Amino acid sequence: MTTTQLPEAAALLNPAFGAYILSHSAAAYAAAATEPESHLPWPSAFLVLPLVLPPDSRSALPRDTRTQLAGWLADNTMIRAAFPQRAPALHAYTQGCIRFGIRHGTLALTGGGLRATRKPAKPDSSQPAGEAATCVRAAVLVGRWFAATDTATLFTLLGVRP
Amino acid sequence: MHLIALALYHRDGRPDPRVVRFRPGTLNILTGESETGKSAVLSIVEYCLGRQTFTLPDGVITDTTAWYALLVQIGPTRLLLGRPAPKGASTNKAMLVIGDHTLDVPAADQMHVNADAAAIRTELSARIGIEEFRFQPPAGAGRHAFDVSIAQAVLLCLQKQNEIANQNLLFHRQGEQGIAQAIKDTLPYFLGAAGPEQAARRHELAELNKALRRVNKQIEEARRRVEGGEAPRVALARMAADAGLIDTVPEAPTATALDTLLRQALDAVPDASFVSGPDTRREQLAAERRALRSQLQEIDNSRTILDSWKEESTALTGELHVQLSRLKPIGLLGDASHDRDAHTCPLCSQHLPIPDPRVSDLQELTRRLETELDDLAALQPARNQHLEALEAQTREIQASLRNNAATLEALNASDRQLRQAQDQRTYLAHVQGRILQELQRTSPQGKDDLGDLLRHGDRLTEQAEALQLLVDADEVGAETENRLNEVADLMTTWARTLGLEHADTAEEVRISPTLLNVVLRTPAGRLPLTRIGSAKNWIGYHLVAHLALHTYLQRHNRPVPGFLMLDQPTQAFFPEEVHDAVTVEDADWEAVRAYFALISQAVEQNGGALQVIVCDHVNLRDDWFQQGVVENWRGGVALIPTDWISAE
Repeated sequence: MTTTQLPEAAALLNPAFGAYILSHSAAAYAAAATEPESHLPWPSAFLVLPLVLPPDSRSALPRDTRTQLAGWLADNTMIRAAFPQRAPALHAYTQGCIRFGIRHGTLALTGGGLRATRKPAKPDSSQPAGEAATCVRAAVLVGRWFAATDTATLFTLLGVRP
Repeated sequence: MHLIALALYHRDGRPDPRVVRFRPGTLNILTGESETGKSAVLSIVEYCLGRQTFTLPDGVITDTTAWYALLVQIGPTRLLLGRPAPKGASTNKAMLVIGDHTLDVPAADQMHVNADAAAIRTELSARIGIEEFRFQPPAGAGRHAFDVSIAQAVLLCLQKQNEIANQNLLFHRQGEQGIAQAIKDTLPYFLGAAGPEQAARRHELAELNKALRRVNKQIEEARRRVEGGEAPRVALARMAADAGLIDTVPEAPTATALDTLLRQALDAVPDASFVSGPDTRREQLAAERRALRSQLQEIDNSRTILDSWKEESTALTGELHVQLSRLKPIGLLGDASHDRDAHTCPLCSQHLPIPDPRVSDLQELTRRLETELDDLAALQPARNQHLEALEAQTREIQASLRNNAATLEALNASDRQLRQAQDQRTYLAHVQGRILQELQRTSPQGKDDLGDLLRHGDRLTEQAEALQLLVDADEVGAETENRLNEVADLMTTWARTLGLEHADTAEEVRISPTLLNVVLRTPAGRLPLTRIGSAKNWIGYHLVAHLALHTYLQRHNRPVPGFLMLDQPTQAFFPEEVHDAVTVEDADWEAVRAYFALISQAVEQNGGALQVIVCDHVNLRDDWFQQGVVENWRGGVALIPTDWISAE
């Protein structure tokens, strides 16, 4: 599953947008983590966009974290199956997004991972059901999920390794 | 699957849990006085393995504990299964951590919900090697097909205090609603008597019957077509609607509704304000066609993924048919050919002239994760249901495409003639003319179609009948008895070892899969456990049945967890209501020793494949017994430490 097979995602593949999504996930991770000063782990940062950008994956995500990651994956086996193909395909793009975010000061690298330097801007509220808004909601959910799941478990459940 | 540790976390959030550790592959004994929590251990294990209902009575444990967790080991992988104390009688909340052999129980602040009980059951079922196996109840049994999972496998691994001494029931929870039937349904599979091939055959039969129903429907349609076609009629009705002769046409009109519509179109007085031309209609059709095509493409992609996945998966040695595949690298560390050091920037994969300390931190983190994942296998989600769903979708889309093509064809046909028609009136008249022609047509178009379909239907019926014979001949029952013969050999030997009543004269001691109880074959006829007296015998026969069954299951690599938990198997040798058996003088100590010696011997015989956990009053001084003791709850020591309670 390369990005060329995701026409709708291709439209979203600009580094600014990816950086924006990542900053939402990183902020949600930090807010949900039980330990203070914990940041979205470096390896996990590469799992955010493959969950958020593909339209089938994004639309299947639950509304809130009452549905847990492991349960969601058990119910959505197609998405779980596609993930190991999608993650490597979006690896270089994620790198580019992180570079963009660092250059523009919205993301920062710490010793362990990725930090949102400021509270990320909310999506344009004049288009409540827009694609950007649903992506942001998905990004926040994914950030919270990652905070609740240990990294090795997360990678195992998604069937990938760094 | 063996148990490594059980952990309880205090409600006050203190960091250290109360941990009870078990040793895999050996005999583990929890000995102690009454009311120290020995029996609770079994309920907690069951709850952690994904049971919704929490069966611990209210008391000191439920008052003090906020989280229960169980650490299990399956092959090289360890899983931590956590469950929060339920607010009511049951909860679905759970926690799942997957790790390598170094995974241990976490500190209290690490416990949080990240899964649900169903996800835990799914993960465990797949990892212990339960294939995708749907049990198909016999036709007319009025029960739903259900998926075999760890939930039924666990029923074979637990014996509560009141179950091990029960002469009427052999298995855990057998007396509860629906459980006996679930055990009867799945025992053949767990024994290996009903393989996936039988399931596949049943499944194929179900599919054939589905196809047969489809063909019969098509035959119906073809019959209708012989009297007057459907697709061309729908197309004509749409044309009439486009031309303004009638209102809109519903998506899938019935034959009668269609008839009415077409007659309306004939009677309609053409309105001069002629609306949308066929061009918009054509565009709509083209757009619909494109959308359908891209949907088909998507389904094809999904199917490719599923197939590639099947090819890559390899069975893991030791597990039977688990389709485990390796975790896929996502390329964070570059290719293996690259040297991975602090000189490579993880952000742009460029070579750095000066090593960056922050970069080496990130690399270090990634490498640690990689080491941790080295031993872990990925798991394949259930494939079959998806293939089925995809195929059903494909068929649906193809049908829509055919409809779309028929409509387009009708449009084109009328267009060619329209070029000669000079004005709209002519066009309308032309449409009405075509409708009239269609309505009057009783031509035998479709006769051949119908013949083909009827022949196809006959073929399918033949296949289904042949398969039905195979399914009937599968003889799951006979094969189950066959496998239970091997279990019976062990049972008979061990029952004689224990000197159980009637064992010496019986030709055979076996498990009856229909009664779900122990039955003796004696010269005088069959003797079920319900007709044998004395609790000593009931416990003895339970013991030999479960030890023999598990020995068989492990020997044949069947997908049942390799542990057996027994609560107070020596209760019958002591007077009622004893506080601590160790203080009892007049008990039958020789029998007690014999029962434990048999358990120890059975574990020995399994060579590390079977883990037995016994909770009992007894604390024998023999070396082999003392080696098995993992906890001794006496003199104030219990499952819940005293300082947990005083802290309240």
